[in-house]
Amino acid sequence: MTEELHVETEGADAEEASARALAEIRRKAPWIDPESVSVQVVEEGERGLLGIGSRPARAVAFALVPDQPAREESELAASLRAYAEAIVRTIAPDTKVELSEEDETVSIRFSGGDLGVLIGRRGQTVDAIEQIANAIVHQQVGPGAKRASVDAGGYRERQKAALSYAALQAAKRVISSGEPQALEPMSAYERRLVHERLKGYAGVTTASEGSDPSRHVVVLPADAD
Amino acid sequence: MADFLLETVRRFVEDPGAVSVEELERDGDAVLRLTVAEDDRGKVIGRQGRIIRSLRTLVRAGGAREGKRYLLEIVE
Repeated sequence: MTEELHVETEGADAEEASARALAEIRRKAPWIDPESVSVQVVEEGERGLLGIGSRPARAVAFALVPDQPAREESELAASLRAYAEAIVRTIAPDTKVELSEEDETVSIRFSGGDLGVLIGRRGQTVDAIEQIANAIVHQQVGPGAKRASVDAGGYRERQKAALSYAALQAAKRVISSGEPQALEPMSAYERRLVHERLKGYAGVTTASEGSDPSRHVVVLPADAD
Repeated sequence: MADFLLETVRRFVEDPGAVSVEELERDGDAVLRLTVAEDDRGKVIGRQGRIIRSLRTLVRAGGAREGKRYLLEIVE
């Protein structure tokens, strides 16, 4: 299967318009062979004098684009895929793994089979899989550039809903009692979700207390003094 | 399990060639003894021990499937 791509661009002169037309095709289909793109100048354009009577040059680029190769994966994505497949083989042989790569994240999702064993008590296994995935990301592309996120059977959505509920319940109790409420110990990711959920909730503020693994969020009355 | 550990740790250390895993039995538990280059020890342990704790979680999850209890140690 091939797809026809056709773009039309403008530039100050014919050369610029042509370069832009080619760049636009390559942006739409980065895997294309630039040699296979035909570029034509359809209007030379006029420089004009002091900007009066100037007309931009126009170029048209045309290409027959083959389908994107199935495994156009970065080295990092390939390494994470191999790691995730090793997890499947070792921990949960009946599950499937999907991986998708965006600018700032690589998402790894497990589905089917025995997901309970991949999620673990309070999500500790899925968190561990994610922690190690991020160690691999840091080693291969340096810290801060990208993040790996790992989910199993929609666990992250359920976790978010449960935390949101616990956060709102605690906030209500703080408002009705005037007393601080401590939540259960949570991972840094979970604590962040709670802080974010209650940011802007009238009458309460949040803080984290204690040290790992018992670090937890405390919901406090906003006007404690 | 030793293979999984070896393969996984090699993906995030500076010196993959220096990684080795020895499996032995002690009081009915399977013990995995992990050796890495000295400069990679910090990486394998991680900030506040997060990486080694995660590796232990994975090894334990894999062991549960085999009905085995794995202990993970880093060789000094």
